[in-house]
Amino acid sequence: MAELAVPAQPKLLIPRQVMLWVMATSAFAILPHLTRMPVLLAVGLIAVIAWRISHIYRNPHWVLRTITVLCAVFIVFWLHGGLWGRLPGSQLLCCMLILKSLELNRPRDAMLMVSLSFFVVATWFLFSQSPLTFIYLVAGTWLGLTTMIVINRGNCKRKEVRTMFVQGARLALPAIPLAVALFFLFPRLSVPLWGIQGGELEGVTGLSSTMSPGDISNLFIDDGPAFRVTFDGPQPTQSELYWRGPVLTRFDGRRWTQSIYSSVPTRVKPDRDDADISYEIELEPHRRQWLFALDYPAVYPSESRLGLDYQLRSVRPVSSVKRYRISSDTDFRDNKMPNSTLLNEALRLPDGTGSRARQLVAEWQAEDDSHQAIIQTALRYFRDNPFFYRLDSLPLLNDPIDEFLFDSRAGYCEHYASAFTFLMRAAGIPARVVTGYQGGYDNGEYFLVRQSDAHAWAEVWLGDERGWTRVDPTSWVAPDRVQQGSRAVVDVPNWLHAPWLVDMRNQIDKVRHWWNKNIVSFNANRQSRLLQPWGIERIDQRQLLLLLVVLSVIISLLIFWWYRRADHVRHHDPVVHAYHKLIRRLQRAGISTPIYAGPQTVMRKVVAYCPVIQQQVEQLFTLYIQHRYANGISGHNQRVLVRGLNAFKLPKRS
Amino acid sequence: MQHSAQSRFSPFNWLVRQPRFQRWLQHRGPLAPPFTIAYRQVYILPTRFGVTFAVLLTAMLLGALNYNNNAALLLAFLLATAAQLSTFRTWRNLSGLDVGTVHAQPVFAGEPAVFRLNIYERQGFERPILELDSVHADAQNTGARLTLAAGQSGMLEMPVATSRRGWLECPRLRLSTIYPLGLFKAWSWVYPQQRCLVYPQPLDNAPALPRPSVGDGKRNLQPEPDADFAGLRDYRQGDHLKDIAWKATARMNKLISREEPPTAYSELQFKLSQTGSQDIEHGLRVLTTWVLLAEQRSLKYGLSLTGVEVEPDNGPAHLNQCLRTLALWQN
Repeated sequence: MAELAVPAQPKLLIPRQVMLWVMATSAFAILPHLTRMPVLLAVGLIAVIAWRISHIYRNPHWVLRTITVLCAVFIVFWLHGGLWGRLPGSQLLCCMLILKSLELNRPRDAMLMVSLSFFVVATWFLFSQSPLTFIYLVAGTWLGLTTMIVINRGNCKRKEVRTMFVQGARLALPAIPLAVALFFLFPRLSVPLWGIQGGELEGVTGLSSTMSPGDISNLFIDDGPAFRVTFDGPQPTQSELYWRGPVLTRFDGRRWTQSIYSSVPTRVKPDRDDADISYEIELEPHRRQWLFALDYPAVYPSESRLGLDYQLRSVRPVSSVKRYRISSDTDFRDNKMPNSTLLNEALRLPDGTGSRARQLVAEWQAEDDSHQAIIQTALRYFRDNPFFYRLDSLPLLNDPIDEFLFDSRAGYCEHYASAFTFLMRAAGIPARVVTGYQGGYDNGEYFLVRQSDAHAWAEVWLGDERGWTRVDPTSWVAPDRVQQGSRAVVDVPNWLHAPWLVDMRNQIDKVRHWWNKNIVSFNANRQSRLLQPWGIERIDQRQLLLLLVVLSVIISLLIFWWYRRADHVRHHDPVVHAYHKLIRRLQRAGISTPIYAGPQTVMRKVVAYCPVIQQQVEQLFTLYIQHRYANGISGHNQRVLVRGLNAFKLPKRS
Repeated sequence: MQHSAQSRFSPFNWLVRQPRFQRWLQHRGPLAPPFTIAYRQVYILPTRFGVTFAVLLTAMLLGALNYNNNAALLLAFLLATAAQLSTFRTWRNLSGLDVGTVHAQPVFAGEPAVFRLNIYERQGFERPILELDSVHADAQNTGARLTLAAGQSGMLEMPVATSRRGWLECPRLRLSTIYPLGLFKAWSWVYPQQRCLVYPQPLDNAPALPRPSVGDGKRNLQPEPDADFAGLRDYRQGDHLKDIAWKATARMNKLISREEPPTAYSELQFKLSQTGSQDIEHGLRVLTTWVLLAEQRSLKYGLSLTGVEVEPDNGPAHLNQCLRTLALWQN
């Protein structure tokens, strides 16, 4: 039974199986990062992993290793134009992790790689915190901890893989309740310790601060959520849901951009008493400053500003899920024009474009010069001529306005908004383009607004009386767009409309919503209101810490109790277990045997102590010796033996 | 003759050597085997890697807190909690182990003395990666690891370098484990009251064996140098070339070897003075070599040292007695 220690020279290479475990862990860690990596880098990293697995015991020469590392740094630098920032930083970390495997020899290297893998997993959360990443988090932790166990054991036979995973789970599972307690109770920072950089726009889909033909139609294929809305009172109808986003005033003939005055705070605001709709918005991070609201926000979060163009902007870029409450006054008229510069800007047209359009407007003006009449004529022009609302319109090359109005006559909302605004300005009516979202899907609990609901419309200034007024030319071309949502008007493959698929997508979004609401957007503010359901209005950080300590102690005690119980239950050989219990009973009765004593010595001692029961003792011990040291005994006899050992009692000495 | 216990310097080693610390340790339970490791006798501290890991986790935690990145925060908490809970596993890996006796076979100076510690698993669960080490300067920590299955027993070795003859006290041992994550090291002190006998180191180029004593006149049976057939026998495989009696071989037409004179007739009584060495330790090394040579040739040999007399004899027991005398003899 005796085992001799296996000599393990620390300088020896770690065995092949251990190396495979480490490689699997690091490959799993970089897996989601690969999807965001330039192809060159991704292929390179996969090649390095493949090479290492096929050349387990051969390190490349150190010169080659150095060159590889420098190449990786250079490639990242070249692809991103720098090494700082979320994307280059995380990709550099991935490279370092995988390139470390080229000198993966000793347990130390292996442990370092596993720790780095945890870090790589953490950096992924800078890009996404969706419920799916939670699975990645848990699986990564489990795999990493298991690999650490394997590294320390120094080997792992093929049949032991399952056991290793079970051991890893035994470490990770009890950690979950404690980690959750820490998550909710560990004091959060209400003010960041160091600056948060904004303006990192890689890979985020959504509206942008400019609009060219084709920008918004590109968003149509994006099924991802933009934001979710929960109304306090009655919900407005679908056609009233114009979610105001970036307001675009400047036009260069092709591209619409924001006015530089748009960030100037407005002094004329709707009165909060006039607000007739209240709602809460859960905004998915878009790394821009703007927030979405219905016209016109009267009550809005304190860390945001309302600009001259009534666009709501957050002070900081929205880099994580943001929840905010808004009350809007739908009847508000921004009729006071504080700045004529803004009006002038809303009249400016680039030279040399849209000459046919200007001519058309001149014809209309000759008939009726009033602003109302021009607007009606323009809208009728869209309705009566064969205009089509289509995603796949022809590219507009030289003069987008004229080509759209007179040649292609097919386009998406941005084409109509752009052309209409142009026509208005040509007629001397101040006009601008507003982008945002229109509509939303009511899934019973909340309104889901997807990226595909992105929309663009126009606003015209109708004098001091009526101020800026929304005009949506798209609704004249395709009324369904506004009444039923973006999907109603464009042909999409049938299977995308299959009811079960739509239903599933909505169910999935409910999970995302729950996740965002309770996990992702949990912060210092929410933490202080943690005990509200139990009637405690606010809880300060000292109380939080106290609660945390108390809860941790309780959970830890439960875990220890569970561990110890598991130890007692899990005995590999019930016969041995019963035998050792007997030895302990004998010790208490005064028959102490040295720990190295075998069963025969124990037997002789017992017989010497109490000769009366010699026969019984010998029978038991012979059976035990046969089970442990000879050929073994049948399963039935084992059970008999266990019963006999458990029932054994020393008679009272007279 | 005791070896001075010098240790590599470290704050930990310094603390371990403090008498007050030692008294405190003794207070917490038996340290001399055999004993069962009680829960109070298991000590635990983070390993160097554990500290690195903690720094890494702190960085992750601070970053996550600063950016209020809740997924990263959850990961950091999960890892920190798992690491913290692993201390319990590490502790449990030692607690309740039965530490048996320590044994060591005598060795010649220069060879490592190997102290063997028996451990027994009686609690009914696996004890992976147990390790034995020592902070003693001469201890050669092998890094050997032992995994005990439930109910199994095993042995761990601690080789200690030897340089001088005499008794070598077993250094204070540490039975340790870093299972499961390698972030924490739990250990138990084992202070075996066991020593190992170290014989003097034999010499490679010792002077030849002295001639048997003839002074007592009882026996003078040196074979005549030119007696042709005295001590001749048939060649046996393994005989050295120079032992072959070529003359006799030529005459008998088969290979004949010359044999050492029959040993029963010569008795050797080794004295320090015979070694011709001024240095006593060197002299003892010569005597050790002679004793071994004489035993190899099945001669009868004895020792005459100041205060100790070993009558001539041979055989393993006699050899051990002679070597023990040489190891422990004090001038």
